[in-house]
Amino acid sequence: MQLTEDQIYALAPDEASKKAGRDLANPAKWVSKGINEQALWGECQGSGSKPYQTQVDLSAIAFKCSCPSRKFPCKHGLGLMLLCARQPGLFATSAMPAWVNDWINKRAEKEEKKVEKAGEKSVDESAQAKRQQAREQKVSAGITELMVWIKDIVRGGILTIPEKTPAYWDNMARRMVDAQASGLAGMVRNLAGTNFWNEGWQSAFMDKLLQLYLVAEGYNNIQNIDPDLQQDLRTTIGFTTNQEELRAQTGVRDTWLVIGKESRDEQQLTIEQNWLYGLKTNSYALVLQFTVKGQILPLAFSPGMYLDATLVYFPSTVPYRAIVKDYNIIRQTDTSAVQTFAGWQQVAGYETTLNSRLPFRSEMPVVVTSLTPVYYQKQWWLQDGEGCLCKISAAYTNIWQLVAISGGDPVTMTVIGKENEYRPLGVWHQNNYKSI
Amino acid sequence: MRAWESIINTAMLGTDKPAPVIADLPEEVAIIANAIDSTATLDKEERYLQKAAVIYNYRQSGFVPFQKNDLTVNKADEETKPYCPDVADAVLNEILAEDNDPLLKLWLQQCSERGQLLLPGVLPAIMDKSKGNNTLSPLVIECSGSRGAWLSKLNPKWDFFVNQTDEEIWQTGTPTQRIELLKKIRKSTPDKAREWLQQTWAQENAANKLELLKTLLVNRSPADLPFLESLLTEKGQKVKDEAINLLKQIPGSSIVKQYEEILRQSIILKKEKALLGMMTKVSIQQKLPEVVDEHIFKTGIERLASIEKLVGVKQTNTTDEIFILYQLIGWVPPSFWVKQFEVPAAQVVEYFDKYTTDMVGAVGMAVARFGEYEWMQYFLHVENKFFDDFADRLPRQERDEYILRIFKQETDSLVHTALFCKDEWGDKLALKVIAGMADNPYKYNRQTINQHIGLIPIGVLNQIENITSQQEALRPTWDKTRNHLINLLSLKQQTLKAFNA
Repeated sequence: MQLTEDQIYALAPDEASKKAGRDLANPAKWVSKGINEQALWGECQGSGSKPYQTQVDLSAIAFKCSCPSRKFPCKHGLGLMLLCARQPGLFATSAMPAWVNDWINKRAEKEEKKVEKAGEKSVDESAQAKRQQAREQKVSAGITELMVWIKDIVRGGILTIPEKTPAYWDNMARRMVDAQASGLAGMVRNLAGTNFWNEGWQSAFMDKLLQLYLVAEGYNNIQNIDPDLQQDLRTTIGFTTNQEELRAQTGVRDTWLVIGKESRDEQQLTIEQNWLYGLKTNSYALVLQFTVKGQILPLAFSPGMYLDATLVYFPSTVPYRAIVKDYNIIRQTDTSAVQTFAGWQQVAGYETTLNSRLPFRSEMPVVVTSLTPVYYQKQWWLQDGEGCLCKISAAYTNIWQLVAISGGDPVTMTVIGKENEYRPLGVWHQNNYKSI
Repeated sequence: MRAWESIINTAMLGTDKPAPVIADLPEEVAIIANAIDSTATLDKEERYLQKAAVIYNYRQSGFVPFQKNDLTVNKADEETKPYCPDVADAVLNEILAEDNDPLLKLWLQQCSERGQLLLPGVLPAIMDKSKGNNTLSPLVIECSGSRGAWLSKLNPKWDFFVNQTDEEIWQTGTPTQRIELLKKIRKSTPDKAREWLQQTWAQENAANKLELLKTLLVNRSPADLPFLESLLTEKGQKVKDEAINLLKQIPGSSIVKQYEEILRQSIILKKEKALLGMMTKVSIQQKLPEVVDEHIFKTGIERLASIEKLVGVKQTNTTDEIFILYQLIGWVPPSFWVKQFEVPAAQVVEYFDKYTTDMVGAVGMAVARFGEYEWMQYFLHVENKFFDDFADRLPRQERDEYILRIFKQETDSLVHTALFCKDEWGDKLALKVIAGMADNPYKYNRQTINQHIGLIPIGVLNQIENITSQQEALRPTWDKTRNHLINLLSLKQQTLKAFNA
């Protein structure tokens, strides 16, 4: 098994599962256990008369357990993987028992069927076109209202914006949902989420308002722009991209390092962001997963994990969001040849290129070499080899761990942010990538 | 950027108000702005939004990092010791997640004994954890190396890392730092600690005096007497009481001499011939002199017997006189009785046990108070009496056998007593204690296990699974505690294995 303990903990759905999993990483708890190239399995004595049968598909890190837990992965899955990571000698390589074999075979069959089904699917193109047209009309009508709302804001001035009630924002966000423009609804909510207590909130607010304006106005002129940019606008507004069609494309095969992972709850959805970095192609990707509570995530990635994978980017002027077409978890690879940014000047140049193509893009990670955390003018900065400084985001909480790892020496790290403010995602320390 | 400031200023007031000219636009952007302004079909809000959008992108694309080449380089010194192995670091993270101080202490002790260091990434968590914890912080300082010392200078909340000399701390440190320093010095060079305290005594406030004085309890000796005797005239009652408490525990002090004098007249070994001179009848006379120096009652001797103050005395039929004698015996060195009775130490204990059973407990207390631990052996065979004051001073195996023998029939007392031990139990005692806990899982719960995991040897790990509660109703509760115990004991085992591989 290729995963480290940190990576296994990163798969846990919550703190309680981490703790329960840790308690089960004890040989005494497992009646039987085994491993081979495809799977890891074990029988854990729980409170019931029969032991729980826990199994992990190692090629894609998928879990199954006969326990009644709704959490995923359950504590047994985590405990079994932790035990294997800590004491691999306890797991004899052997043939899979029938219950593991059945599950692994079923998974393979399912994958095959999925591919077949995708091929068989016939689409009523005229009905689809009609639906598409109706939706576009709804979106256009919604955007017309949104433009009036934005103009009202700038006409009256933003001085009194912090006094607006939640209903003010909520009404427009709901209107955007009705107009089937969920992306715009999210941008309106994000606008409402501006921290009006912060000094300089006006600039942060205007950044968001202008992004919203650019998307809305861009959509009004969508016929006159480049097809990739059209796709960016449509994706930002909330039009979905057919993932089956994406899957049919060749994609980018590379050794991908998971450089960051974050989850956030939005409405009743959990949105998981996985940032990947292609070691050979020197490219970045964002893989999003959306789940409702209790639902199983198809991909279980954790920072520091290396994947031999094919990713297909969503069409964009700045390819960034992607889906994973296929992948295998692999052993740690030599990352000494990683092409990183030499300093902030290079990062600024790169970001300028991206902004010129897509001015309303979201923040993207960058791997920068030789950054040193320094304390100057009562705040923390990251200084590059040339003496250039960018602020560490005030919301970043692990600053002392970063400082401790650095010891005042420059380190190679992944940061995410824009202009002169960034938040560290991970750092290379003693040849290992560590999420911080 | 002035152009962006103009955009914000207009946004604040609103486009209804006359807007100032946008300042400092570069030529290319100015051309676009002019083109927007000259588009007749746009209303003034749209003109503003379009120009703002262009300037927004101009701003974010034209970002120039701030450069500062003259910042002082602040680097941690190179480490001179090796880092702990990765496997030990992994166990440490488990221990931190369990939030278990005894295991953390064990881990740090192992790390320190092997001359290894904590990995840098875990330092902030460990330093936060050990702040204000006098047991952990010296070990953390030792295992943090130069990286830890460097970090402590950057973050004031980790000021327990001492970056000053002992003299500097003594002169300028916080009260807590000074007390900790005096404790440290008292352990290694007791006279130096006392001399330092004497030098600054006049400048200390009452609260500091009391706490600093308490540090002299360790390694107390007759050399402290002149200083302590001089404190009997202190104004502060609490300081004076502490000085008396110390004087009562140093042989040769005026208070101990006074007690000895009273006991010399009060406790008398009497040997009388009996059966026509063929046998000697031995007895111990216990009687206070007609007039007792009232001063003894100002040194903490209680005048009236009260049940809650009686320890080791049969609580019925205890007169005030017996109670006063009991207290006095507890505050004189046991060696006093060798001279008083003119018999060897073993016989002193035997006589007390045989002829004044109530008083043997007081002699036992005196053994611990005056550190005359060579007397311990004579108390081990006193029937039905457990001398918890010095049991922990016995070699481990002897201590275990002593506890098991005395509490053979009283499991709850056995568990209670064993939990006060300072050193790890042997396997036999541990299994007996755990079995006792299994029968009382509401009293001995996870909290008990957390606090006392340091006492439980890893040798019993494989046998704990078989220990179950005798009462069926208690089994589910005990099973949970047992699982927790197994987890903690596994961590203890992993810690020892990680450092001894």
